[in-house]
This record gives sequence, C-alpha cells and structure tokens, in this order.
Amino acid sequence: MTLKTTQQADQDVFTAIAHPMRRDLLAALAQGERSVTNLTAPFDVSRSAISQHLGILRASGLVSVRQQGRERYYRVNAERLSEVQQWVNQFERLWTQKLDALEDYLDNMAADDDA
Amino acid sequence: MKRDLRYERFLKHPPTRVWRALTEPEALARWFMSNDFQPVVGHRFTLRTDPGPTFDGVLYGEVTLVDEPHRLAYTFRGGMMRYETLVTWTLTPQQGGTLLTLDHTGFTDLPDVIVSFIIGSGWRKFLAQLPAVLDTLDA
Repeated sequence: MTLKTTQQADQDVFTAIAHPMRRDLLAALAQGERSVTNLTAPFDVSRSAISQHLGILRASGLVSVRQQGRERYYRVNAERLSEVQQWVNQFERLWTQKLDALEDYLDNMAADDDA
Repeated sequence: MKRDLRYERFLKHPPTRVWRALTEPEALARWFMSNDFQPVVGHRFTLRTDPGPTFDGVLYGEVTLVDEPHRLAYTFRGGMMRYETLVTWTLTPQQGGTLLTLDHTGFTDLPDVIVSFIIGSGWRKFLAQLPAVLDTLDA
C-alpha cells in the first residue's frame, strides 16, 4: 500500500518508523525543530549514524530540513504522520465493510440452503 | 497511532460454515476480494480490490496458522510496502452461532508524544496550527 504525496516520497514510511532509533528521533522532534548536534547529544551513537537515520526519515517525508549557517535543523512533517494514521483508517473502513459483506454472504448462503 | 485493530461479530451461523467463508477462494471472492487463497500454512496469495487514491488495490499475504475451524492467521501487506501486518481470525462457538473475532495487528508504534498530535477528532485543526506553534518553540 503506497503512501505517496505529491512530493513522491521514495522511502516507505513504515520501514522508516520501524527502527527504534528513528522513532526516538521523531519523539525528540515532536517537541519542535532541533539541530543535528542537539539531536545527537542524548544518544550514544555517532553523528554520522544519526545523520543516516535522519536521511531515511527525510526520504520518507516524515521530516524536513533546513540549513542555517553550518547547522542543519530538522522538523516533523505532521501532514505525513497524518497520512500514516489515514492508512490505518483505510484498513478500519475496509474491515467494517468486508465484515458486513461476510454477514450478508453467510445469510444468503443459509437462505439458499433452506430454500 | 492505533496499534491494533480488533473487531467482533456474532454470526448466526455454525463455525464450520463461517470457516468455509473464510478459507474457500470462491467464497472469499464473493464477500472479500478476488484471490488465490488456500488454507495451507506457508501458502502465499494475492488479494485484489479496487485501487484508491493511496492504494494500488493489491495485497499480499502468507498463511501462518490453520486450525480448523477455530483459528486462521496470515500476514498481510500492501504491494510496495515491505512492512507486514498480521490478520488473525478466531471462531468461538456460541449458542445459536459463532463469535467471530478479527485481529489486525503489527502496526508499528509511534512515540506516544507524536500519537498525541494525531489521535482524536481535533487533529486537522491542530495540524493547521502546528507550524505556527513549532515556530515559536525554542530550538
């Protein structure tokens, strides 16, 4: 199930959030925009590893970046997260609809058997 | 982010009949989707339905559990997503029919702090306000 916006994100959103480090980074960014330096500080991980994770989040459209001087600042794209929720909602609608169809199917089958 | 989806329906039909509806390809095609399903552990199948704005209409699965007529489970994912979820059907016999439980699980958790951004009926309004709020926060 692709989640593509007009920006055509290359990275699958769900693979992006599947990694615990990337979820931690998203949690940190939920507080607001943060620099890479600031994001790296609490983790016992190299800056290049953090950058790699941020790159994946960026490719998925979940975060965006701006440059200011020598620092890069990341922030969450809330719209993209809402798409993730919408994807789950799609399944909700699907199942509700299909369970209704199952019930109708079984009732019709029973009616045919009785006829 | 909702982690698990769960549905329960009481069906006025015996478990054996419900089981057939869940496992026979011709039956599935009538109420579910066109398919090449077989109730055999390890069987890989494709489901096809109408595409939507963010969905190409194709779902892939692999059967993981066949315990006739009590439980049936298979993995479930969208075509371009390497991420798998799990669908489990549980059939519990009850007076006059079957209690059918559907669990759709495996949606990755998002940090709760982000969940609080998204969940709830007010999220659209919040999202409109979010950029301005973020701008005012200290970096």
